[in-house]
Amino acid sequence: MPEPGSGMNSMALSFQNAPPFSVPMRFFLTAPLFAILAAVPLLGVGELPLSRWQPAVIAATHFLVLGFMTMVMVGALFQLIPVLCGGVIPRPRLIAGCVHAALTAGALLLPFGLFSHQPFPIYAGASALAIGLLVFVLVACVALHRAPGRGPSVGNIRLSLISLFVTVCLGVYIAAQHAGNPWVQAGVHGAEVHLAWGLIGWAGLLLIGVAYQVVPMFQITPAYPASLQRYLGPVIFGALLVWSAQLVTPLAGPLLEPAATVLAGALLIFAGTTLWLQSRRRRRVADVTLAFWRLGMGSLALASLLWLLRDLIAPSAAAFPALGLAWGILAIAGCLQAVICGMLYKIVPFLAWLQLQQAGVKGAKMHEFIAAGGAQWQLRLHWLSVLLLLVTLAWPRGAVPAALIFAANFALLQYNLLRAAHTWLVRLRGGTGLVQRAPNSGHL
Amino acid sequence: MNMTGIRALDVSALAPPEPMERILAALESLAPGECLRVLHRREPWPLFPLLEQRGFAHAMRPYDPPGFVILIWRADDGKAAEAARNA
Repeated sequence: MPEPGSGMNSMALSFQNAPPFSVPMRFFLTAPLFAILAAVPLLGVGELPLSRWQPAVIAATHFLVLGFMTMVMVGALFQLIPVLCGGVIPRPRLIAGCVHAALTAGALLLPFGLFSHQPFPIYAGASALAIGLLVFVLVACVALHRAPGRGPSVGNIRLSLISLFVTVCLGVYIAAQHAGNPWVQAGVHGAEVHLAWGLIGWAGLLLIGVAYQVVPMFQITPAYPASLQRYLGPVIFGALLVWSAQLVTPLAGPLLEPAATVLAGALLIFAGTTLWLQSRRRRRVADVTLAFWRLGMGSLALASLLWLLRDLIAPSAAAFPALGLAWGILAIAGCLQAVICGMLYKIVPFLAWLQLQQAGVKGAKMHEFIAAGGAQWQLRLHWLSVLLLLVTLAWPRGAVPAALIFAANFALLQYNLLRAAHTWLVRLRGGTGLVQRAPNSGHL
Repeated sequence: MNMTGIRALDVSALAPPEPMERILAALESLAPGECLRVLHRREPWPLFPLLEQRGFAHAMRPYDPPGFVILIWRADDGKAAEAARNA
């Protein structure tokens, strides 16, 4: 029999290093506002067939990937690096405050500049993003370098941070092109490589690394196969490196098709494995997080198939713009935003509840922080948003109702998260929670 | 589990933080001389600082199929510690 407390190790101690609740929450509470803002430029489109090169679409995309997606992912990493990897981020409030301010300013200014073709907000936004995100990458990499945690999840987080670094460097270069800087060369391939590193490297590898932990933990499924955990992340990272060869040599052409096939195949395997594991979960309780994950993995599988079969689906060059946009809608709104929403409904109540326990506040229940009805309604609105966005590919005027539903969807997410933060604050101050709940609303 | 002084709790099919909620609730009604024997699917790291903060001692060992047995007792309860050693 081990001695009392002998079960503690560095990972247990690392949980003691978890930042205050306010550190991740400032990112989580800001993110839905940017998703609402992303709907604004889309209200003006609809006369022309949509293309991902339209300024409104580029602006909306950057509001989403910077203001929503990266905002939540950076906030989550401030929590995950100590808890999952055992890394210590020094002075988390100060660093999170600086990174959050820079990310917020950059995520506002850059898309505005891209939409309005004004060089100043483009330069200011790109500078703020570069400073904030590079400071974050540096701090996170130092913390991970010193961390005791190892394994596939930690490895994927490392690769995703390197991918963020590459994405930011390429993004700054492309932003300078958009601003008309004479020192940089124009070229469309930079954008293709930038978006691959951002969506598949930064977001995808982090999603995969986190899924290895949270899917079996929260959804009571078997673990991901060990070989998949070991090789999937490095294969994706290697394929991204090959895909990037187009930046330096026009001779890379023959390598691009196999690299794209490997990327799409790897993502399809991940989505398929996740859906298979979820079908084998031990506890078959309806759960809004699981439903968001299923939407996310279904969208990822569909996006990957569209990529693999694009020559069959769209033999004419005219159909390619719509296909590229469909892939973007499925990857960003269908997959990444859905999974992020689902995870927020698990992480925020869990952190709120845990912080109250650590503060010695008794009697709080995790399910009181998010109303089950509110989360379910947001799930329905998110499904509708994704479907309506896809409809705009065939019916451009549908962009207006799609944008309005999309904004309502994330306004509801904002309300649900604010309600959780409010309940936490009331509990911390000694109340029992101001929001009354229906007796049957106990599950997420 | 019918061992003297041992109360059994299986949380291996529950999602976080339900295991922790149930464990903390069970500990509140732990009788003198009694030890809580928890069957868990994972190593519940966030639980341990809370146990220490509330005056409980614990021990953990692997359990087959993949899982862990965690024994928890009041740190000042010698009889419960003895029950945990024999569990």
